[in-house]
Amino acid sequence: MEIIKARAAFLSNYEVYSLLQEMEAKQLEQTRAIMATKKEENSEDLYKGPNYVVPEEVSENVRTIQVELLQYLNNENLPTARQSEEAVAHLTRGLRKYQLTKAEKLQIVNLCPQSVLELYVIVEEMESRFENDVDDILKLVQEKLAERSKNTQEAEETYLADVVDAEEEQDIWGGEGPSQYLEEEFEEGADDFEPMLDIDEAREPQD
Amino acid sequence: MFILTEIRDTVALQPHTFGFEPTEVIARELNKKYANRILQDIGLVISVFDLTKCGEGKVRYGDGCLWYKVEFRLAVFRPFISEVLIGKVKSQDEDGIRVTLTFFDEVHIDKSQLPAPCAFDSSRQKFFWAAQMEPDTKRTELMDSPFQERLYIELDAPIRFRVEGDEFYDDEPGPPKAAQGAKYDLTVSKRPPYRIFASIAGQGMGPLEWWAGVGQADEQNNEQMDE
Repeated sequence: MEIIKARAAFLSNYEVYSLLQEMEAKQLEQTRAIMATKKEENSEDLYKGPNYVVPEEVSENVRTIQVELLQYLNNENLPTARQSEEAVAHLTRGLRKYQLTKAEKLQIVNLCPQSVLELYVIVEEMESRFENDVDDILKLVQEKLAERSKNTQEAEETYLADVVDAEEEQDIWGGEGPSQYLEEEFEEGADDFEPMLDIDEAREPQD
Repeated sequence: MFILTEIRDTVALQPHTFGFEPTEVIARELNKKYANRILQDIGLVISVFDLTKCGEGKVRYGDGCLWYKVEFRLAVFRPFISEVLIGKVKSQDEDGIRVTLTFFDEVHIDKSQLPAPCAFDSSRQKFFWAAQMEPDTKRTELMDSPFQERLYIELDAPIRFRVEGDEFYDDEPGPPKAAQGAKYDLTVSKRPPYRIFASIAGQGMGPLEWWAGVGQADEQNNEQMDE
């Protein structure tokens, strides 16, 4: 093992959340495959041919961290489960016009401050730096988030309808989407992700 | 809270996995090796984020495996200094408070990092903050304060804290020395490999219920001032 770069980029909570959701969906699929093969094996013990492979089960350590972390991120005190890709993109785009540091922006996206006090905790010297912008920032944080928290299910459906918009069905947790907003140092990795939003539009400007 | 770390490693794929898509099996093998483990000076690994580079699989003399050289990125839990996080109170004693994040519970708040004036009520085994008193009040005076004025830190209460620092500790015993033989020193207390030191001193920090509604009041005041 060799470490190339210890801190290549920051990830927002939502990006990790969607990564885990994606992993879970994949594992569910695999588990179904395993169940199916087990059933087959029980019925008749036949030679399955040279290319037959037994699917492996997910190892325990992966499962542990996944379940515990999802539990943490689904906590009612964190906004992560109520966020959507669109909301994160909207928020980062909106925060661009304020002179916030990268760390402050990341924390605003992660914690979605609901009150002046919560914002005060995150932003250093808030009174002097953002005398008049505080209410605007709080309003911006609320905008897309509130939409989903009112009636999560209903909002989720409309959100889905908006995004998919008669195109072929896509995995809503698909791939690296949100990472584009916060990650700057990297080119896209070689994977089969199909951007569902217009990424150029959503991308943060290169510093 | 989370970062990406780039790592290079060599992975062996067992022959029975040759039928699958190699990248998926590689990712699974890497997850098996790294997930939920602490890397020294890196942090707690969540899982593989993606593979960035992958060489050709090679067969070595002696086994039937395909060996791949891969470069990949890991999603890692490593909050930066001064980051604000939300956790739950796990336990408390005279020395301080321990906070859990469900998946990670080595967050320590030293008693010096509590809002002043603060004291440990040993009959209830809880810290309390006497917000009404002067910051340099003595402990004996604090213990005489009326119960209604004390803000206790309850177990399992959601709590907001600021990361002040972290520490890694390598617990690898190293190769045994021949002179000592195979002996285990059980007297040495086990230290966790990764600890976070946090603070809840300051406005807006500490149990969420302490501050519930305070921000809203501020907001209203601001609005009134605007008018």
